[in-house]
Amino acid sequence: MKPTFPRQLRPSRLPSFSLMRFESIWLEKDHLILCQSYGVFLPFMEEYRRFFFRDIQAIQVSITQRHALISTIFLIGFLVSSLILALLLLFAPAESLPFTIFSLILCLLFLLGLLIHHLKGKTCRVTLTTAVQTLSIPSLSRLSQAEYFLKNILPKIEEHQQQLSSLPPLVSAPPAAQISTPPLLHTRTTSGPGTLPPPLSRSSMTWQWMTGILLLFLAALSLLDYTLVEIWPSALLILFFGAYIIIAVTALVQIRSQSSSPALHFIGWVAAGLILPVCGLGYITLIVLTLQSPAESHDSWKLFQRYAAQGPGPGIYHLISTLLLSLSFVSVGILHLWITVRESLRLRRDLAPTTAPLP
Amino acid sequence: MEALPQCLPCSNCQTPSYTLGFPASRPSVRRSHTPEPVQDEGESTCLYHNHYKASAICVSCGAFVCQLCEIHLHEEPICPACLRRQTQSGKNTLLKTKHYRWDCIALGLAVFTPITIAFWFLSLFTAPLALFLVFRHWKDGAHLHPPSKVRFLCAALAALVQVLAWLTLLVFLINQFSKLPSSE
Repeated sequence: MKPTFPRQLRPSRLPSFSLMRFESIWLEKDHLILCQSYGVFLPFMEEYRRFFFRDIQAIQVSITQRHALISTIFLIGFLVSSLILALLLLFAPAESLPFTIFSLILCLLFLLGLLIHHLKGKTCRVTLTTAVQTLSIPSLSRLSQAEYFLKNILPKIEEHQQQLSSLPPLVSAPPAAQISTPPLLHTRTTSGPGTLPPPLSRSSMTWQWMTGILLLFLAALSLLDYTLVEIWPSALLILFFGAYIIIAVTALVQIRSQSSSPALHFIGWVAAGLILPVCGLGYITLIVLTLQSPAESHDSWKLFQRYAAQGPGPGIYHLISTLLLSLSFVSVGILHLWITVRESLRLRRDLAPTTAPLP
Repeated sequence: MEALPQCLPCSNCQTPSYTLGFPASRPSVRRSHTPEPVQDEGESTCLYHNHYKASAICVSCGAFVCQLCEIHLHEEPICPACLRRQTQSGKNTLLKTKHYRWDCIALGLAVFTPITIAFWFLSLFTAPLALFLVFRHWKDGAHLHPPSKVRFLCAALAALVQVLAWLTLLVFLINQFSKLPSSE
């Protein structure tokens, strides 16, 4: 008999920025195969996990905040690189043509990444539940991929669990405990009152703590920035400003996702409103000074000394921007840590054992 | 098929999500794993639990097994010993959890080494190894993918070219050494 082979669903992305791992999903007649391939450029080894359609109890699809985070990173990169490109085109001498071309390429890459990311659609997390495990399928990271997967798999689950829906109950349950559901599918979109909220994962809590502490550290560092400028070159300071923006926006996205309070959202966006223009002005300061004195661009302190001697100018400007930046980071950092503490206490309270009497 | 539901925010964490539940999650359809004890002396008993009644016959070895020992593969019952044996032998593709892609490994050995110019000399070892893998695993059955010998053929061709190149270089060096004037 001619051997039959499973049908492959669309190949999946590289999960978790891994260049050596590739995941694919295959459909057999009565089960699903999750195949993880390992190798560089070519798959050298494959590992399989099989899920029979008759054993699948539930599939959950949750929208994640990764879409907003990646969009923000691409947008910031595009804005910064386009700002640098604009300044180079307006003020740069002819010798800086390679830098102009590099900035143009960087700008186009960020724009292309942003467009592709938006065309791919919202990000999600798909979880498969059986009697013995609950497994997340990392390759189904986009909502369109998840919907394509469900449209292929739901008819097969329906076919293999058709007979299960017609079986009589093994133990007769009291009428109050019976679940009235449609024949094969039932959907649960909200959790009812009195039920435990989904617990936060350990990794997300760790990331919350790290981000909050890092923000406060950066706030302290930015206060020292005014004195450290004499020993650090301008290029490194430009990178620092970029890192400040990315980390602050990351924290703000997390704050927004973990809190439903409009007041907290308002405070968070006000802080972001302070950080972004301040960092942007800091960029302009450093880039303009660097372009006007390319020979001295490796030593920012000389630049500031020269221009500060001309009166109120970039030196004082930089001091004010640094103070505002520190204030913004302190506020965002405290806000972030406050939410983290609140979530930790809530998690500890919700997972504590209860002493409810047995029926 | 019903249309997929809309994502609605969770009342606790506000995460938009939806859950599709299936009949397998209902407690009433979960198969009972409690075996029945033997009541009459003439009843068939399980090979591994002689005090439990046999509920199925293993399709592989014909042993009687109870509900505790009954394992279903492709809707057919087998016993735990046959499951372990088939897992170790690797003949049952349903039980296979790992598979080495020898065609890709051979192709990688044959192609990657000469491409990395800094390590071209390693092709002295990788090319014969790639040829060995091609001959050793030529008849291996495919697992997920339909059988295709294209990668094996490409690997064999690339490895053969490298082996011939090394042999040519060896012959050339021997000729050069033999032409050197003797010290006498």
